[in-house]
Amino acid sequence: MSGLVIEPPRGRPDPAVTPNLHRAAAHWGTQRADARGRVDWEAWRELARQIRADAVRHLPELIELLEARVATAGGHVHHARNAEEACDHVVRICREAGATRAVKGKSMTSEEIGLGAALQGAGIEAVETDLGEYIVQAMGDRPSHILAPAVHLSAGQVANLFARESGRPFDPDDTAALVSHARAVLRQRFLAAEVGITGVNLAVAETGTLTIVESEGNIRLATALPRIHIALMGLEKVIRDWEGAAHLIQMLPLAAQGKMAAASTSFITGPARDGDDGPHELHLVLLDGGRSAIRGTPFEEALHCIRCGACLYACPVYRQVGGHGYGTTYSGPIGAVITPLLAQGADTDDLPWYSSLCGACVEACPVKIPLDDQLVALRARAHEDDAPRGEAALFAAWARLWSRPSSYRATAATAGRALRPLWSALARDGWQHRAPFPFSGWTDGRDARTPDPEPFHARWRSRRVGA
Amino acid sequence: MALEDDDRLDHFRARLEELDASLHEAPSLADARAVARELIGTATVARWSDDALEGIVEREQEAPAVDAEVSLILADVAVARTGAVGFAHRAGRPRSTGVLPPRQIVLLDGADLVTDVGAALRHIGLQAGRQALPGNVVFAAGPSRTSDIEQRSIRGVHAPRELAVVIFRR
Repeated sequence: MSGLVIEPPRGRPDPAVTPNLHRAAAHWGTQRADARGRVDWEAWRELARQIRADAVRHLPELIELLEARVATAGGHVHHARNAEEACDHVVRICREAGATRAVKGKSMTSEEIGLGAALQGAGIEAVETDLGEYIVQAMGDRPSHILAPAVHLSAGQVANLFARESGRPFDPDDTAALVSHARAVLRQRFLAAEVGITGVNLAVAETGTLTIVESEGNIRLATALPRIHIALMGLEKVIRDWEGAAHLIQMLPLAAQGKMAAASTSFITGPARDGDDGPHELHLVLLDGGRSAIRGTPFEEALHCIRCGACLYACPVYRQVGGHGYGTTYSGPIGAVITPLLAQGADTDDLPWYSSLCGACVEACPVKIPLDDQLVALRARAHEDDAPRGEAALFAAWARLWSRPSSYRATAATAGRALRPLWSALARDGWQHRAPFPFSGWTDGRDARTPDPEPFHARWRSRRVGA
Repeated sequence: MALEDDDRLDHFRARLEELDASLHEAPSLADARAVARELIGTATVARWSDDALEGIVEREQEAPAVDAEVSLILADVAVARTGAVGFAHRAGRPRSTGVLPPRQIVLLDGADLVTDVGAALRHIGLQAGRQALPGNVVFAAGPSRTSDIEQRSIRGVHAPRELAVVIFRR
């Protein structure tokens, strides 16, 4: 089983999560607005879409070209049909080199295949080196955002963690001290590591170059100090040429952080050579993991994704429930689309409903993936075979009933009156914390507002009369 | 569209300022070396071997990259529109020197300042049809940074936290 589905979404979210997420989403919104003023955003998106569409359409030939070029540059390429094979490759490479200490850069693909557990099981210590990932790993938690893994945590929680780790107190407001603690701890890990494991943002087929963007410098260290570099990428991350690369390495930080350039962009063509320091072995693990099967289907465009995380912050559902609410590696709108497509057989049919279909994700997407259309299509697909008998008839009847204002008002008012005693008996501060079945389906995971005793229509009428 | 020389420098200066990096302009390589010497002061330094970087650091100031306070390197290219400096690592220009010390001073020949990312990739040799591409190239736009803790922007995580670019005319 891959790490695509981690656990069924359940439980009440940590009360700190929502304010943390709202702050992050607002911050992202401001940065994005700034950045868009600097470029012809719509023209840039269209160009980015074309580059990704070309790559996915010609995926088999571009992968073949990439493989040949990586080999020419002195690297080794390993194909993995699924998560197990990908983990096996990484473990085998470490074992053959006699390596037991690895440093890891942030990689959603490694989360997808459950690499952390595989390495641990094989006795290989793999330390996450991105600050957010390091925090999440040390807490025994999971990342909740593609780019900001610890976005659900507060500075106070991080300060407590580091205090436990180091035995000295930390002030949550002194962010620089928190960062410098992590820097010092991780510096020793980098110096001792034999293997650096990273993801790949783009692979340029025509020259076999792996491109990785980052903010912190951990990727640069992981590809400078250890003697072996293992890069793990989903097949779809390949692009044809440098012209495309030049555009996408700007589009990615622009969409993700509203910045014109990532703090560091590494371009890696083969292992170190001729007196250069750096890894003397380069291994590229190419993961299919269900991706090839999406090509040629109505969902092909989902493979255009460059994992910028913009649709997550843009999504009103993500902002409420957070990444963990989805119970999957990939969350947010893109997660709700690709998880059911990649996790064949696993029960992910509910995910396409984690959306209000407002289209904010589509507007945020730098490669114009029609996420809303795909969510609707996936909803239809989920019920193709197993539409409960009578459900369609029930919804049709409901639609007829509520299509006419008179019958809508009558039924809504009756239902409201019938349920009012129940609501008022259970309400606390205007909230329902624990409602009886079938409403418990909602209140088990979150609180619900107690319905207003006076229906909207009634209030509207009285306002109009008064006006 | 390619920018004129003066516009390129203006753009580059503005981007570096936004990125919290400093730009120092020197009329000649000799002046650039003097600026670098002043920025370094008495700090310990790890540096790349290149003629342009000679005569800046006293022998007793030099230290291994893992201990040095400052790294002194030479850029191969810089991008006016993004504020990035680019360097190809090779013998004599180790990756570790460029990334381990907390402060970084980058000398940049004005002739290597180009308009955009596409031009910079070609300038540094990242294009098809070449015999051998540089094996490892890094474009660095400002100091390393993180906002992983409550979106508070902090400079300097694993790579340099201070970045000074000294641009000169040969």
